Amino acid sequence: MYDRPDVSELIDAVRQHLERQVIPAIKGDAKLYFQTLVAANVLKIALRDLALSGDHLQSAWERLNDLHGEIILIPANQQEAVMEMQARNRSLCTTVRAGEWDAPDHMNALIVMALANTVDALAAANPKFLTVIQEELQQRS
Amino acid sequence: MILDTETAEKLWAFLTDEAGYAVILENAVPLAGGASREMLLLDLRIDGFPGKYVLRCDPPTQMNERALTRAQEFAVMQGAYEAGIRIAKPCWSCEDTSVLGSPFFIMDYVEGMSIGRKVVSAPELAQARAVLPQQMAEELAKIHTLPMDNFDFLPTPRPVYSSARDAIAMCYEVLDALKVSNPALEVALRWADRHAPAVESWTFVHGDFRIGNLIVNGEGLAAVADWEFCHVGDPDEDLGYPCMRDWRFGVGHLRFGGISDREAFLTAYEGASGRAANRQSVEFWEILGNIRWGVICLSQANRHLSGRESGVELASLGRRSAEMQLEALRLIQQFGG
Repeated sequence: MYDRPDVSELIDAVRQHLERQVIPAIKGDAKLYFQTLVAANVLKIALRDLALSGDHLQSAWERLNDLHGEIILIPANQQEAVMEMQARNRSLCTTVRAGEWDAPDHMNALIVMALANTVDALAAANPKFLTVIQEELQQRS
Repeated sequence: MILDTETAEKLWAFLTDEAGYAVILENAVPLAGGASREMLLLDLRIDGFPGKYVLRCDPPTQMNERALTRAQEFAVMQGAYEAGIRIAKPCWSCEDTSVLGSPFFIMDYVEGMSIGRKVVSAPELAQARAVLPQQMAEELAKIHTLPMDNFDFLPTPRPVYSSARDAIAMCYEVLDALKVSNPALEVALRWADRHAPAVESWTFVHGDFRIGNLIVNGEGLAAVADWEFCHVGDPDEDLGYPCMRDWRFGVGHLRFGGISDREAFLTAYEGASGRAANRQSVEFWEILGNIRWGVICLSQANRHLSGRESGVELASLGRRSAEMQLEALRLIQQFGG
């Protein structure tokens, strides 16, 4: 629709600018240096988010279907799907807090689902964290 | 010199008054600390004697409403210092905001490393890491015997609540205030609520006792820092907290602060304190520590998102919450429903 660069390429251009031009030039200012490293990392998160969030929303939706044992179709419109997902999470959270999932089987299924969603979130936010934990668990076993 | 002339003069007048001697303020430079820290390293000459001091003037951390004021933190540090705990000697406290714009206190400068990542990995601190678990256990045992009654301002669990349930209630309040519906946090909190230790014995609790909040030199622990989260509660909280993955600073397989296994620390603590540490309770507090830090990450991000404070670092914390969520859920699975 628009001319290139696309949104990912735009973000990546800023990331490259920060990493190659700005960060080397501000090493003397410890605070600004640190904050700018964070800023560059935030752009990497944004890039992974753009690449992954569509698939992750779909997976989270299906996991919730499995948990409830129901088949609800995900809205085709992305924005609507996000809103619907939030609404479903809200009602799930209310029932969790009310103790409706306390039975061990339910609780375990819920934890497994939440873990899978958290792994997805980390694939966008901090994939290195996931790798490190997986390596650690392999070494232990 | 980082202070403008007018501020430096006000600080000088305060110091002269407090010290009761002629004071020369020779230099003041920002001290690299945590992201939220505002600390100055002062070079003072008091009655002709040169010395290095640290001025802490950051407003209390807004992670929750339970942080002590600077003046309260100063009072606690004085008590800890008098009790012989390894700590920077607190010197002067100032609540008059006309001096620096916010309350502050000044303590002795203690030479050493506090940055967590360096403490767990720097080759020159290998010797220190070997003795740190024992030293930390000894200091913590002393901290837990500080008389709570001397500090009537210490936050205490709300009536009828155990300290664990109080912390859980705080998490729920934050989630509700932020209108967050996060199934991972919600299920973890539900688990915590149902597995909170049945019995707690309350003591003085440091509340932020971990690698990264300690000053470490070649011989090991030089000073325990960051006393603003002291409260009355379950001392096992201070035993589980330093085990949290985030406070292992990348050395994940060493459960105690990235420097040793957990048993070494717990055994040392039991020896020093004469109090048995309930392993299940310690594990519970490690899990709750992760949940709480996961919740606080969201509330820190909200400081930026709400428009109150602009900061990319605050914003980025929102996406770090998932690390603590994953860790809490993994530990809960291990612990067994």
